[in-house]
Amino acid sequence: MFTKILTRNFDQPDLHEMEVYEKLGGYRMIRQALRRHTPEEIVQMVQRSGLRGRGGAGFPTGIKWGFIPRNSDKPTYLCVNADESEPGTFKDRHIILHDPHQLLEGIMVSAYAIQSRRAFIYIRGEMAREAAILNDAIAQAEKKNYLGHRIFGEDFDLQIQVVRGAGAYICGEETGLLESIEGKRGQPRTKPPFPAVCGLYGCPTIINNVETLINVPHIVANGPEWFAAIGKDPRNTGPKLYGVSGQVKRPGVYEFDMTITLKELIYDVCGGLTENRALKGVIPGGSSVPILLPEEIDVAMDFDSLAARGTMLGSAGVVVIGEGTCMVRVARRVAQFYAFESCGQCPPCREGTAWLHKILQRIESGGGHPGELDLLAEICDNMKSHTICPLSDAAAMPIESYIRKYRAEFEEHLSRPGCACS
Amino acid sequence: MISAATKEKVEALASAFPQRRSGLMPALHLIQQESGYISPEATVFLSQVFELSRAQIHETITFYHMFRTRPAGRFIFQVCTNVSCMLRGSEEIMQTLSEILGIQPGETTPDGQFTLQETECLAACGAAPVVQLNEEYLEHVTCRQIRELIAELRKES
Ligand SMILES: Cc1cc2nc3c(=O)[nH]c(=O)nc-3n(C[C@H](O)[C@H](O)[C@H](O)COP(=O)(O)O)c2cc1C
Ligand code: SF4
Ligand code: FES
Repeated sequence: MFTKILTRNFDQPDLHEMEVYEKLGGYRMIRQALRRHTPEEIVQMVQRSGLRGRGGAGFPTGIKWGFIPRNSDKPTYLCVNADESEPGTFKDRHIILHDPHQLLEGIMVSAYAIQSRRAFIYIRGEMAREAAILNDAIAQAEKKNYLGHRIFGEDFDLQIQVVRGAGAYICGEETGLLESIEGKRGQPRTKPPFPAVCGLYGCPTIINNVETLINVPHIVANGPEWFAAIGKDPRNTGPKLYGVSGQVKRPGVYEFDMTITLKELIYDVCGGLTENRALKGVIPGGSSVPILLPEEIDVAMDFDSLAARGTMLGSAGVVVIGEGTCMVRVARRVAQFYAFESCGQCPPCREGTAWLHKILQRIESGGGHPGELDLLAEICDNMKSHTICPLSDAAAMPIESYIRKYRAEFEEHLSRPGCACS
Repeated sequence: MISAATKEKVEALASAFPQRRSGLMPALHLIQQESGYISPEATVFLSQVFELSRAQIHETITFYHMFRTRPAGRFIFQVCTNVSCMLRGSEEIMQTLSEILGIQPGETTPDGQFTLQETECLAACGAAPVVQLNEEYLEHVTCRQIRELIAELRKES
């Protein structure tokens, strides 16, 4: 039996109020971290916990933190990625809406570990209410000297500022995010240098996802061994949030360890499909990952099991698609997103995303030509691995998977105008 | 017109970050909130405060979908049409709005009251279909709810 860790208090009324959060044990873990542990100890604990980033790539958090140069004379920055713009993903917003102080505590412990005295929460522009909730929580914390000079009376200063984006998916990419905080166009930077060495304002910078950071205090409070034992697999440890949407009876954000299967998530947790439709396909980790067929869903929702199935855990945004949905339309809509959001720096991405959208639009409206499915596959192929950031791959991979797995349906669309699916 | 209060806040933003230019995005939000869009006059003001050329200011403005260089309607409806919302009937919502308002996505009603737009995933997919009305999220939206809401807003305007 899995007991909720990150979301255990989410149904408590007024959890965003300092008193409520503290009454439930909040801000104890940061005190413990500051009083009992050196920053290096916390970095090592996070390394031993096996925590992997929850923003999409699954990179081990402790290892990333270890890349920060020692004895640099520049300040270190912590940037919290609250851009949450990957279609199908809604877990970070859920965290901020319910429990902003838990995020602040996660930032405090993490900032202490990497010795960053200034942290920025980069939140997407559309989330005005969520930004206000965070600013309010920060003001409450400043008032109690939980933020500012010598926080909790200990020898550590910390300031947290909220920076709002303004509608650009690419600013969720970590170096696009840095450019945006610097007030520029959010175009990703060429790597190396990596942000841990040369990031915000040219200084060492760690970028982590909201969900990643709220795990950190629990690791410090309960020990890395406790965390590593959650989930039974040393490469996929700790609690995980899944956002399930689309045609299920009970969509929402759910917390489990990563042994839960996609099948259990859809049928046991979310009550199966609406109107008891048959399942047609599932996107397991946000719109950037390849789709799974109904016969492929008996798979653990962890990084490696999904990779073994040729897809990814990504942002763990599960989109459930029922029979009756036109896959050409799904493909066109996904292509439209990437064409709209490509930052345009790299020709394969700029041209490729535009072509995918244009051709799929044509096929959807019945004007496709024979041979265009192979052309689409070729375009996808050319978009991969020749670009500054992974957006180009992220656009190509899902489209490729739709065509491969629902080829007959695409061909049907080519052979006659109109849609036979609905 | 940028109010004196907003001007003061913008000037404070220029020194709120390790580098001046980081204040630009928050400043653009402030100005757009007050005036509904970023006017040429505002661009000149921002270029003075942030010690940047107007071209640099413009470069930032045009990169971000939320910033507008022209006024929009008083009520801006943004319908998420991305996959999770599409699976939950966002096309019908869009059609209903388009019919009632008599405009296509991307347009503003001639009286300047309503703007209709298609938007990307709003990170509220569990509550699909989702519509953003100005800054507010409307979740689990139905066509009926949309009709009632527009009737109300029309009375207000
Ligand atoms: C196009 C693109 C969009 C991304 N969007 C987000 C996002 O909205 N939120 C996020 O946390 N990570 C996003 N990422 C991943 C970040 O680049 C980065 O890997 C992550 O924030 C690191 O944090 P983590 O190690 O805690 O996961 C995106 C990546 C790409 C390529
Ligand atoms: S891959 Fe696309 S989004 Fe990424 S930097 Fe290149 S053009 Fe921009
Ligand atoms: S797809 Fe509409 S809110 Fe995510």
